[in-house]
Amino acid sequence: MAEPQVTSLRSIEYNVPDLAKTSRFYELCWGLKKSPKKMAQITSGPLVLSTTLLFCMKAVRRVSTV
Amino acid sequence: MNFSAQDSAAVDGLHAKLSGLGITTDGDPKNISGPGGGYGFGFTDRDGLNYAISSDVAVHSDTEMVGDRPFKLSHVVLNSDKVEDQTDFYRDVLGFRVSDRTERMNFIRCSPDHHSIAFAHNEGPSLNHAAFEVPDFDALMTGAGRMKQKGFPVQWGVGRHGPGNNVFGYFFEPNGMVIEYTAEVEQVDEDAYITGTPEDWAKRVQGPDRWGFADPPTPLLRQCMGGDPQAPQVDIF
Repeated sequence: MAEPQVTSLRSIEYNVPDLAKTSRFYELCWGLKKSPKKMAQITSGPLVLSTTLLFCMKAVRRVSTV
Repeated sequence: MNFSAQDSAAVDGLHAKLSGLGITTDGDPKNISGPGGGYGFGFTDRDGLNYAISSDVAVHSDTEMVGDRPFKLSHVVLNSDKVEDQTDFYRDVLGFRVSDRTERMNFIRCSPDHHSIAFAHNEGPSLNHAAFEVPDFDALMTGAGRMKQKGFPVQWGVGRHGPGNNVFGYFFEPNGMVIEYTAEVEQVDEDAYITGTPEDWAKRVQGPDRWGFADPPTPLLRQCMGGDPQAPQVDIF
């Protein structure tokens, strides 16, 4: 059996101070779209944009996790 | 950061490997109830960075390439004061391959893309930048134009990098983090590719832009790439 390995980079998650402002930028300036809640199975929490970006509204900006 | 594995067996295998090395995980792999679902687990590396590895994640219904819209997270560059240690970890544990080493950076891949991760010699750990791929060079220029019109002018570029041969343009996003538009990323033939050394690259390319067109990064961009983001004062719409 082949060694298990990572096969692609899926997404990155940022902590940001202003989730709404960040969302406007990536949606209106870049054209990304929010993931549908029925797929995301969430009613609150991280904002997911086109499966490449996740944002959590926190004061500290650093690389984070899902 | 979140990585894909081929299937649930690969996820299990990676979890076993990490656990065997004493790497902290968030428990056994399980079905994910968060965005996109799938099957996976999280772990924290020796630098304290958090990751997730998953398979069988749902694909967004809107994934087609449209105009200049970024369609993919191309790569992430991390600052580290332990670049070789981190490179070894990604290679030996996660299965990455080393594409190139330069004096400043190590570039590693987990797919045909020349690099999905790069480590920059710097104080760390911190985020240097994240790059998003657009369909082609024309899309990159159109996207750069729109960014400029919206108050986010290019901070470095447009140019073409040495390792990876990708076209680049760097910007700030609203939180001061550095983002790159990129296109035409080199696709690696696993059977033929020869890893470049710092000496090779010093001979091949003068500076980070093959074209010699791009001015050096602005001082503020360098600061932010060093892990100290400064939000630009731009009203967004």
